[in-house]
Amino acid sequence: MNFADICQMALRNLQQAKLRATLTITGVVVGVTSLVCMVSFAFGLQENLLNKTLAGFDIFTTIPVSGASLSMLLEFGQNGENPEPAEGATPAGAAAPEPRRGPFGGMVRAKPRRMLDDKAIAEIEKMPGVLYVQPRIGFEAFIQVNGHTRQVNFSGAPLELSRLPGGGTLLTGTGFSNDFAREIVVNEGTAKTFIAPVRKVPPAPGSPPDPVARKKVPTEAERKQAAEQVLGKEVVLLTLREQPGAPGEAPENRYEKNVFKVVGVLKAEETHGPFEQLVFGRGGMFVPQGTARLYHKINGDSLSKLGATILGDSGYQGAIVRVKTPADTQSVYDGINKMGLQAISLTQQLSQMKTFFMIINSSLALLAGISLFVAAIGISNTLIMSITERTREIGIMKAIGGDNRTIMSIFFCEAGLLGLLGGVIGGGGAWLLDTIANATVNHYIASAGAVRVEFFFIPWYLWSGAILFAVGVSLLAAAYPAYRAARVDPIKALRHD
Amino acid sequence: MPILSASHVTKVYRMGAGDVPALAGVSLAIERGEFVAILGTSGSGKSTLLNLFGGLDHPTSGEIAFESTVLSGFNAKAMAQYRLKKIGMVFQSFNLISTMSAEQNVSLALAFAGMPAAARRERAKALLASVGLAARVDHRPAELSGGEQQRVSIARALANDPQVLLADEPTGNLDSVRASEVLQILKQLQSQGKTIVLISHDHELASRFADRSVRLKDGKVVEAA
Repeated sequence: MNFADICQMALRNLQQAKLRATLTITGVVVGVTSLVCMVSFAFGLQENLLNKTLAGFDIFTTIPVSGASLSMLLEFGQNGENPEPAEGATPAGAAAPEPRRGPFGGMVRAKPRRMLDDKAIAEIEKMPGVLYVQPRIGFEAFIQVNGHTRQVNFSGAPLELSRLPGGGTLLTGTGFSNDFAREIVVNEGTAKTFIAPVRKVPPAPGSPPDPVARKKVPTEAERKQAAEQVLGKEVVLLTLREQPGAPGEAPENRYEKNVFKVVGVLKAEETHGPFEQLVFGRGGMFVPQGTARLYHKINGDSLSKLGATILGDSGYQGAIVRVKTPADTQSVYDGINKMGLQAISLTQQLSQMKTFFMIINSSLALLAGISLFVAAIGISNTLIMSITERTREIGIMKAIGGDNRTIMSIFFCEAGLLGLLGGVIGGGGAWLLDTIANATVNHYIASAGAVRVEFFFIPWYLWSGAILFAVGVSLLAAAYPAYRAARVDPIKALRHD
Repeated sequence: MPILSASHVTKVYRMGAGDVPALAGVSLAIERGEFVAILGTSGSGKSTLLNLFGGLDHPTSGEIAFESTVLSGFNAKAMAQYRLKKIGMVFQSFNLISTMSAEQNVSLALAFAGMPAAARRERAKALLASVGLAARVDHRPAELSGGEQQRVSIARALANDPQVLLADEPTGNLDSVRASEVLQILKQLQSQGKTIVLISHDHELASRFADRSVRLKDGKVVEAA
């Protein structure tokens, strides 16, 4: 009996018990849908973080660097009391930190033991293969816009905005005039919050919905037009006075108002959505680097100010080192670590993250696999019932020359068809659910002015893999019933009612 | 050389309460082209003997041979091939698959032999026509009379052109007219060179068509004529 005949026979048998086959397939559909949905969620996170966010930062030529914190430096004795702190590298004559194994097998450096200050930046810039070093510094502040006060995070940005991690392209505006200017560049999403909201007039009861009011994706010109409304807008940054007024004095006499002007709006797609902060901690509001350093000192907490006073400097929070070619990455990475700073190899981190996501994916797949396991029991049950009902038929087939292999093949084919149909429908169902979930989430994301994110992502290999897995599980579930069918005694079977 | 032979064959069914002997040292030889009737009352062991000839069961002791090849040496696959190619079986209760048409029932045996779909449809129709059912090929068993169902069963048994036809009480569920028709078909097949082994408890009817009769009683051959 050839494969086509076996399939035809299996299909005929399933059609004999339509309701039972439908219910069994439903079990597989539920299993596959939950499996694909859960794994596609993990794939979505992975896709957003690794493939979109990191891809935008050119991980093969970018090295994030961090220095020791003020508290660590004070502990090491680099507080000015030590007469001869180690020149350049590690403090108190300590050797360069040795790498150790991380939780996912990657190499993790010991904590940095040196401040990331202008001197360290200058040393890195001199290293062969380094294109530029972009220090990172930020601060929190209260600002007043449109008469409202709110707390925001500012980041320092270079005059050359393209040096921002992931690049920075102006949608409109000129950018900073100098490194200490009281100027602000905002990203497109933040810019929307600077525009005073227009109160919507609710439609009259019973009137048809306004088709124009429906949300649509704005064109480049419309985006630019909206961004231009923000240009030149004044943003008041509040700081405490050096000499606060006497108790009882009016509060406005105890703080200063520093007026900043918006000079540019960055394109939204350059900001790579909410995941970028996981890697680079970049916010949505930028001031020139020099200004950021100044307000970092002014708005820092009192302990940080004290530490900086003892050490003479507070250093930078971090820096991004850009090398000329990927071949330069390793030597620069090693050189930075030898300085007592901590360089992060993003390629290494990427590999660790991939391992991490693989574990997450496997865990979610295992969890969802339980429902597929239940479906497999359903398939097994269906086939065993089918054998009981078709015992006589099996006996007839054996009596007229059907061999055990053919009998088994028919049952395996039935199970395979149940798995295939369940897999295809389940995969389609998962795609539909994911699409709805993505659309719903992005509806709210878009209304908040952020970048579109695919929370659920189904690559072709997940879809096809889920179908193959469903077929595989179904075939496995058919092993015992098929074996039992092949073992049917034809004489007893022919007497069976 | 006999086409089928049984040599000192015993068959004991092992039941929960004890052993039940069905055949007790049966020796029998059936020559090529013969029409042999095996007669006996219920429980005499005639169906057991037919099942052993048909390769559906194994003897407890003794040997069943087809053209001097002993069947007990066959594995499951070889036995299935034997049932498929060498013999055809006709049963008292027809044993047709109720969800298949007459043509599909006949085609199934051809499908097991690996014949392509179009060819087996043609052959199934020709076989059904040869037993007078050309107009009933698409009918399911429930839509056919007992005699017609038995003729479908005979057509199916002939599907792969076997040398031997084993018929287990093929007329048991038929009236005398239909029974005669079925036996007439078997007789025609004998004339075409087939060997026929007929199980029956109706001595008179069997003796009209068979070349010789073998009577079984309590699992033993008591009379051969």
